[in-house]
Amino acid sequence: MNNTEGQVTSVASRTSVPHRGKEKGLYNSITVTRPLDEVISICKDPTNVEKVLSDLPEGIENFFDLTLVSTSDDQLRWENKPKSKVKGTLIMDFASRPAGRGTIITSSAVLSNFALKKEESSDLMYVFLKRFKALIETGELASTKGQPSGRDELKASDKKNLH
Amino acid sequence: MKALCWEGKKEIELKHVHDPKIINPHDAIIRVTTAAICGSDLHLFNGVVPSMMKGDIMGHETMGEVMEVGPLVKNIKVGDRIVIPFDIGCGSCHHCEEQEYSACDNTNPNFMMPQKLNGYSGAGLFGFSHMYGGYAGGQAEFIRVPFVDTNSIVIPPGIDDEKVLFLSDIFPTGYMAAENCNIKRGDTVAVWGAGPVGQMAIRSAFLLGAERVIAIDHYEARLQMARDGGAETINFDDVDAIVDELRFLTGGQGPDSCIDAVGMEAHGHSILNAVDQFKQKTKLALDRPDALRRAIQSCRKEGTVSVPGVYAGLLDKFPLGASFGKGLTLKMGQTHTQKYMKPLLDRILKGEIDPSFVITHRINIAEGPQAYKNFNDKKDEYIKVVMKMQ
Repeated sequence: MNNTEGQVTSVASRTSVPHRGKEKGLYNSITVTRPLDEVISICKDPTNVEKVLSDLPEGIENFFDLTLVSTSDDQLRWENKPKSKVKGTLIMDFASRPAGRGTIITSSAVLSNFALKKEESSDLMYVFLKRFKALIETGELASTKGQPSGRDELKASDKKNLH
Repeated sequence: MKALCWEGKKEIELKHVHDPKIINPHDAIIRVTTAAICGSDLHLFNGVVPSMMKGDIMGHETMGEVMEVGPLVKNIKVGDRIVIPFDIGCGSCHHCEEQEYSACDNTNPNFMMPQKLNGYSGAGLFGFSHMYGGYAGGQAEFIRVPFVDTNSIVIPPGIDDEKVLFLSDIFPTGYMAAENCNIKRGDTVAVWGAGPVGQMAIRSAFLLGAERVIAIDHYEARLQMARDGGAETINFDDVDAIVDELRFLTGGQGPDSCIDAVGMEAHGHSILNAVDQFKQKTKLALDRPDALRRAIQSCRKEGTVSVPGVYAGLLDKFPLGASFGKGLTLKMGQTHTQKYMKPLLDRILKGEIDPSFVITHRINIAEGPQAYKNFNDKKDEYIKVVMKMQ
């Protein structure tokens, strides 16, 4: 489980995820090119979690309405709020990659009263992690929402002030 | 604003749409002064790239003046004149830090689509289908540019748009294709496709030290342009077997490196190409890879095949056995445009090359829909079209 330089940290990150059985658990991992403490600090912030889980791509449903219940140097544990329809737990484990190559985030989640199709499971966790990575690395989430297209062609009355 | 929109296979329309606005803090809004139609736009025009939607704004070769910047933009300011690369890098992920901008991890909001199709997601691209992010393109009066500090190069005053516009795509694409060949003194490079990217690859191969460049096409105007750039040429309509012809021209060895600047819509006279045509028309395949097959078969042992041409799907009858047997190096991929913009601008400013040689037609945006048809049909010796927005 050492994460010192030169060690294989992917094993560490994998073994640090509690085994929950593939039928129920959602798993995925991603690498973020930032140091571990910075990554944890950003992931801890509820406003960032809210950003990541809002406005998800089409076809991805948000099952999480999370509150942070415990933190450590390499793990955050979230649970769905008491009034949420879905009862779930989300754990994020953090491990440094060797030679300053960033941080691996491994996520695992259990939705105890809700069954997802296999494809939905992998999509949900991948989207969750990919969006966190983007937010941490760039400070924003790529979007085309609200951009112009010919699908919103202007009506004749709107064309008065055209460039 | 006015914009050229994709309305279905072989249908481009000029439409009046809303102006773009700042969406994210690293964005900028650009007033487009000059744009171009790219050969890869024709793949969209012909409906062979999946995930286009009616109304998508076309164009990924664009330059203009910065009108507005988001609150976190640091280096670009209102009034700057910039060229915009076709691929969108975030500037912060591992790949962008390695100057592998077209592999950017963070700029494709529709990353699940290519992830499911190909197992990965690359960068978002301007005006190039929803699989590549669905970003509105630059054949419009205005364009929104995400992460503008990364996705721009400022052009000094006094240099004409036409000399620098192609820093957005075809010049870096042709240059990277030639660079991928690892050209050594005395090398012969064969280039399939003497369209705009092929023309830039020819000139770049010479810039990088090639002794001979052999261009292969069947449009006389394109072959003439290649000859003007110093290349020898082969019209593939005039030879029985291009592989044999190239072997003959290179003393039995084959070219040291081969560039496929054709991509997924190759023409040719082989039976395999006829099969490709049928499969593409019936949606059984996305690509017609005949140029790539010939490049692999022609290249000398231990040579390099470089592929700037666009491919989208699973290739049929791909000669992997020949590639393996000859120990070929295959290099390919979307161009890391941002990496090349500055050094290539320097070459332009020094007078080593003027990429505007490739322009054959100048139009207004209103003439865009017809220009697409003409370019696709190779009418009137169309090679490269640039358009003004007014």
